[in-house]
Parts: sequence; structure tokens; C-alpha cells
Amino acid sequence: MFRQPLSPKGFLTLLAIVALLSLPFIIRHEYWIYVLTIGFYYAILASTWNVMAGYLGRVSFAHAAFAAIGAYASALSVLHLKVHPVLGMAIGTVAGAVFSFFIGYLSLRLRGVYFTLSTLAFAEIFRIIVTVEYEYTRGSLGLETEHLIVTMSYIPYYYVALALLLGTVFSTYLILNSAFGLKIMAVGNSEEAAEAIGIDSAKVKVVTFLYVSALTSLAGAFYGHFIGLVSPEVGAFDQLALIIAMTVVGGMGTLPGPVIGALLLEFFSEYLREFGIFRLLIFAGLIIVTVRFFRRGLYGTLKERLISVGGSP
Amino acid sequence: MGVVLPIVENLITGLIMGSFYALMAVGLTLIFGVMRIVNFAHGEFYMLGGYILYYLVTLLGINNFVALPIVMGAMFVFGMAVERSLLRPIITEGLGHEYSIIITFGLSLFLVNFAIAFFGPEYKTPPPYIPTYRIALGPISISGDRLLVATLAAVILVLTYLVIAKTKIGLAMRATAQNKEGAMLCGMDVYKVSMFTMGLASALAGASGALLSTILLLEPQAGLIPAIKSYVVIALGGMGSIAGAVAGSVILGIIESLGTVLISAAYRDAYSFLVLILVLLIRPEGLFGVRVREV
Amino acid sequence: MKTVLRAQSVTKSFGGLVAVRNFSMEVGEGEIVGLIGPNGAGKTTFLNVVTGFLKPDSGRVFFMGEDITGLPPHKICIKGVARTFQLIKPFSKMTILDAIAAGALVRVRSKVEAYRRAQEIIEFLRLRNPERLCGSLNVVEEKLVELGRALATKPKLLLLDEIAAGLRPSEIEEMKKTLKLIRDEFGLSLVVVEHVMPLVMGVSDRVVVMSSGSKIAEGRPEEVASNPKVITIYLGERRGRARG
Ligand SMILES: Nc1ncnc2c1ncn2[C@@H]1O[C@H](COP(=O)(O)OP(=O)(O)OP(=O)(O)O)[C@@H](O)[C@H]1O
Ligand SMILES: [Mg+2]
Repeated sequence: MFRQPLSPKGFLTLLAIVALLSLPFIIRHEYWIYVLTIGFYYAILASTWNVMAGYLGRVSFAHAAFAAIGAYASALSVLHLKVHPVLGMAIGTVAGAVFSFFIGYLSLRLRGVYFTLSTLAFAEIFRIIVTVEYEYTRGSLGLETEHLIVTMSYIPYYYVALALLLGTVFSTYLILNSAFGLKIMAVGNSEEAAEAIGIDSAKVKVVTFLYVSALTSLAGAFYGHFIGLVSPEVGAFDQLALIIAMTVVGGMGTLPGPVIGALLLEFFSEYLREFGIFRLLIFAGLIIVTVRFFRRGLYGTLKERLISVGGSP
Repeated sequence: MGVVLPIVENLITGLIMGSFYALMAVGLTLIFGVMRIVNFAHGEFYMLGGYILYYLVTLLGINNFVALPIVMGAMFVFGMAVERSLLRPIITEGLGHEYSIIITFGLSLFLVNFAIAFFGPEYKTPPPYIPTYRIALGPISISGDRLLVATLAAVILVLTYLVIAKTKIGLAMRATAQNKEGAMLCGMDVYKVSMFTMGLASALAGASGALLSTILLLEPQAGLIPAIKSYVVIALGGMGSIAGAVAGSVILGIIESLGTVLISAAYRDAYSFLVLILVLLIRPEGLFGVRVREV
Repeated sequence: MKTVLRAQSVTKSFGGLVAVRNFSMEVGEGEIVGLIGPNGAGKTTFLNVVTGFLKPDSGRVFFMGEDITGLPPHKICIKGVARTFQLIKPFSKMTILDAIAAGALVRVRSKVEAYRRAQEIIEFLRLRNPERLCGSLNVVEEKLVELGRALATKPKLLLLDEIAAGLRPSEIEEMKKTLKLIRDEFGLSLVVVEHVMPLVMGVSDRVVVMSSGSKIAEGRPEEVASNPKVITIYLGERRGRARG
């Protein structure tokens, strides 16, 4: 399989995967396994948001809402259709894809901030519907739902989340490095210039949004069956804020950045638990400082430093 | 007759609400016109204005009418500081919309949580400008205190209009909004114009908060709904257009108050979002704007 | 000579302002046509109509005999029309190689093949270090990448909007050679919108002069240069500029 010797980048990636796979054997605390699992969930959301904001150049405020769409679609089908949560998660993914197709088709032709405003509106409408339609969703109390796996330990969930994360990162890697990935970046840099060289920007945008939203909804559905409760919280602005902070701090527009940012901030956030009310304040501060002064984030800045130290361009 | 009276009352309430929306929306549209960005922290400028008024009146015992200009002054300085420290790279480095969206979103989050941490998450009620009383016009009764506060809002709007129409800096703002490169070529200081615009917009949002929070309640997230309303308004009026913002505000205020009679209250906020989406999709240039495609 | 582009009585207005008025022009196979005219004459607007970025109010555009009026820009590119932008639109966060390869994707499916073609164009244009980001280039390189990106789409007709603006005299000479070489090597037709007279007069087989949206003169460069109407317009403009 490896005709060429492994590149340093490939080596580090492999090392990270092996480390993540073996962590449950090293960390014996169920609590930290739980924290890591949540961290993986956020890493998926940050990675997919990053494809939109960092590569396609579209800032979506409906990202957490798509996680919630997946979570509700799955929980409701498990409840009413009596399907297994795995099938529920599949339904959640399809629901996310369908919604994103319509929303994307309608609003992706809007430029820049107009698109962002429309996603904000869609997200809020969704949140209001979920809160108001109490009979179906149990409103802000949240909807109890079955667990994905009947187990006393978090370890099985850890591996499911890790598999979802690796799948997300790997498929994103493949897409970004394909011909289609070049088109995504072209549209992200200049939509007009992309159209002038024969790229159907509308198609590129809708397909990318669909891919991103389907994965996000899948992650949301998983999250619901992990926690056992689906509430409007899943799609709340706080969640969106976390996702943005993680992406930006880790390094927007880079592949590993959002994953690194998510795991880091999730740990950080656990330590900050006792400072409850200051947690989001600190995250907001991180967003502002990073975007203002270290635009390439942790990973981007580090990479830049390493390259300049290594000397080779 | 039974339906007409509430409708007339709601029409008046709508006009009153419209004048508050206009205070927010005019600032937002000025920022968009001059700097080509949407300020996602605009609602928090409103919220800060409310808190500053609250503390000036309750802690220092200053009269509301005296406190209002102080609030505006403080928010003016605050807005300028935000431009200088956070938004300046948009001009100097030519950053795209991703930057402005994320940085103002971060600022919004920061201010909300700052308020939660330091002002407390609970509702506050700033003392009213004048005691509550109702004015009876024949069979119609409207709230007199609201009318007064709305009048103050209208006065501030007129003053703002005079600044934009009659002063040198106002001229520079309009020129920059029309053509940034051209304005720079004519030797206008784009930095100064941007800073002044942010200051003015922030002062207006602050004034809106200082006025409206005496009627509605004040809490760290109190700015969210007014902000959303002003997005709807500037989308309706055409982003960057001042007259459009005022007209949009009145339209929205009336639609909403009539809407509460005719449609369910639970979905009231959802309707403004729906209006926002429809306007963006059908006429992204606004109801009064001209469609342009820049190549 | 076969006609590649035929624009017939194109009119385009913005609000009350008629930017292009009943304007017709043709471009033959392998021909280089200069399109000149004072600021605001409507040259860019005309290019935008031809490339589908604007829909004309009336008039038709034919490419290789086929009516392409009103097609979206990417479809027009697929037909074989490429352009550059007056206000360049670089893929700032992409490398030179990626940017040009993105242009090749309209003709080839595989990324490998796209990179091979991009590499050829990079060598042809003599761009150094194609791993650099497009956001970090000097003016000449920016223009060349813009040109290379358009060339990569294998056009039959290439529309250049002020490609020489901001270049120094020696660089303009270079660009002149490059444009002729492009025509010969790639066998395409060119429309050169330009204010830089040495360039446009030097490369064009034919020059079309536009003023206030209408065609006021057309002919070989030396004919146009001595046309009294053209001289009046340009002298008028120079006077205007000196005042402003
Ligand atoms: N999108 C637009 N909306 C409104 N007016 C426009 C638009 N684009 C161009 N115009 C106007 O149309 C006229 C023609 O402009 P155009 O850019 O085509 O001129 P040009 O010949 O390319 O000029 P230059 O040499 O300065 O590039 C000008 O008066 C311009 O202001
Ligand atoms: Mg032009």
C-alpha cells in the first residue's frame, strides 16, 4: 500500500490515530472518556463548519441547527416508527441532507453576509418551531430518546464517535484534494472568477452544503442517542459559538485545525466548569483574539513557524 | 367595530415600535453602507445602552433625561474603539466578509457573557422616563409614556439625519458609501469616516436600548430580538439605504402589531424571520433598492 | 475568414444610463481586435454581456454561429469564451499552480491531467515558483496568473480587460509579445480592451473605438489613430483628465 516512504505529515497523522485508538486503554477514567467522546462530536461539527467557512467562504449560522435537525429526526423516528437508533441516525442524516438541499438551493445564491443572515433566520425558525410544538418535541424540556448502545461504559460510544470523526476527516480530505476540492476553493476565493473559468458555482455550493449538513446531522443524531436526550440546546447559539471558537482557534481553512481546536477547547471547557459563567466569555475572547491577531489559528501558525524554521519553502 | 378599534390601537403601537427599530436599523444600515459589513454585535450595543442607563439612574441617581445623552456619548466612544481595535484590518488588509462576520459575532458573544458575568443574568427594570399613563383619544387609548419615548427616538433620528445631510463628516460618509475608492482619491480619510460611522451607529443602538429597556425588560440577551428586527428592517429597506431603513422600520412595526391580532403570538418572532428570508430571496436589494451586480 | 464572435446591436442600460447602445462587432478566427474608448465608454459592460455576467436589454451574441445570449457565465466558458477581469479577481488563498489547474478542470476531469496542463501554461508564461500563493504576487505576476487561468480553459476566444494597466513600459513590451505568442501557439482570437495605446496599437489587427456606449470608428490601428473623431474624443478626455 505504501509505495513511498511515509511523509512526516502522514506519520504524525498515523501516530495521532493510533494514540486515539489506544487512549481508552491508557485513560481508565470513564469521565475523561466521556469528555473525549463529546470532544469528537464537536470535532466533527467544527470540521464540517470549516469546509463551509474556511474553504467555500460561506459562514453558516445554521450549523448547530443542522445537528439538531439530525437529532430530532432520529429521536422522533425511533419514538414513533419504533426503529433502531442506528436506522434513526440514517434517517437523521437524510433529513439533514434534504433540508440542506432546499435551504442551500434557496439561499446559497445570496452573496457573503446575505447568506449568513438567511441561515440565521432558518436556524431561529427551526428553534422556535421546536420550542413551540411542545406536543411533538416536548419543547425546551427536551425529548428523551433511546441510547445507541446498551452499556454501562462510555468506551463503545468513544469508538463510535471516533469512527465518525475519522470518517468525516478522511472523506473531507479526499474531497478537498480532488478536482471538486479545487472547485470549492476557487468558488471560495472568487465566485465570479470561478464562473468565468467554467465552474458551475451554484452546483459546487449546493453539493458542498449538502455534504457538510448531512454529516453534521449524522453527528447530531449520534449525540442525541449518546446523551439520551434531545433538546433545543443542541441547536442553540451557544453551540454555534463553541463550533466557531473551536474552528477559529484550531485554524480555519486547515484540515487538522478544527479537530485540534475542538479537543483542546473541550478539555479546557471541562476545566472551566467551576467558572461556569466565565466559560463562554473566555471562548468569545478567544475567538476575537485569534481572529484579530492569529488569523491562521493554532495549527496554521505552528505550521508557518515550523516551515520557516525548517527553511524549505 | 369590535375589530377596528384594536387594529387602530395596534397601528399606533406599531408606529411607536417602528421608531425604536429605526434607531437600531439606521445605525446598522450606515455601517453596511460605509463599511460593507453587517454588525452582528448590534443588539449588544443596544443591551449595553440599556445597562449604562440603568446604572446611571439607579446607582448615581441621575435623571433619565440627563442620562440619555451620557449613554449616547459613552456608546459613541465605545463604537469608535470597536472600529479602531477590531474592524480596522478590514480596510487595511482588505479582509473578506468571513472576517467581519466572525469578529462581530465573537464580539456579540463576548458582550452578552460579559453582561451575564458582571451585571447578572436576571431581569432588570430601569426606571421609566415618566410615570405610566394612558392618553384617551375618543374610544382609543394609547400609552402616553411609550409615546413620549417614541418621540425622543424620533428627535434623535431627525438629529442624525441632520448630521448626515448637513455636516462635512456626513458628506464624507455618503461619499464613502457611494464609492470608497473615489472617496479615497478625493482625499477623504476613510479611517476617520469608518470610525465615526461605528461611533454614530453604536450611539444610536445605545439610545434605542436606553429608551426601550424602560418599557421592555433588560437582561444580557435583551439585544437579540431588536437586532434581528433591525436585520429584517435593513433587508426590507435595502442594505445601506437610510430612508429604506426608516420606511422598513415603520412597515415592520405595523406588520407585527397587526400580526399579533391576526396570528398566533407564539410564532410572532418566527414571522419576522420568515419575512427576512422572503425579502432576501425575492428582493435581496430590498423593497426600494436597485438591483446591481458587481463584476 | 470564419467569424468567431458576432455581437448584434447589443444594448445594456443601468437605470437611466445606457452603458452600451446598439453596439455590434465581429471577431474573426485568429484575429486580435482592440477595443478602445474613454473611461465609462461601456467596454467592460460589453465584455460582461458577451461572457454572460450581464444580460443585454436587447441584441444578440453569437459564438461560432451559435446564439449564446443570456447563457450563464460558466456555460459560455464551456463553449470556449474566456476572460480576465479589469479589477483582477485572484484566487488569493490558492497557489499559482492550483489556480491555473482550476481553470483546466473545465476541459479535463482528472486532477493529474489538470496539473499537467497548468504546468505547461506556467512554463509558457514563465511564472516562477508556482507553489506561491496568488495573494502574495506582484502586479505583473498577478496579471499573468489571471491570463494563465483563462488560457487553461482552452478558449477559442479570449477577452482581456485592461491586462496592461499598471505595467511599466518594458513589461508592456513583454505583454505585447506574450499576446502575439498566445494567438499563434494556442490558435485563438483575442479581444483586447485597453487604455495603453502602445500595446493595443501594436498587437491589434483591427481596432474598434467605443464612446458613450456606441461604436464611433473601426479599422486598422493606423487608420483609427488618424481618424478625426477619435482624436477629438481622446484629446477631450486628456483635457478632462488634466483638469480632474
Ligand atoms: N453594475 C453597474 N451598475 C450601474 N452602472 C454601471 C454598472 N457597471 C457599469 N456602469 C456604468 O456604465 C458605464 C460604462 O461602464 P464600463 O465599466 O463598461 O466602462 P469602461 O469602458 O469599461 O470604462 P473604463 O475604461 O473606465 O473601465 C459607466 O458610466 C458606469 O458607471
Ligand atoms: Mg472597464
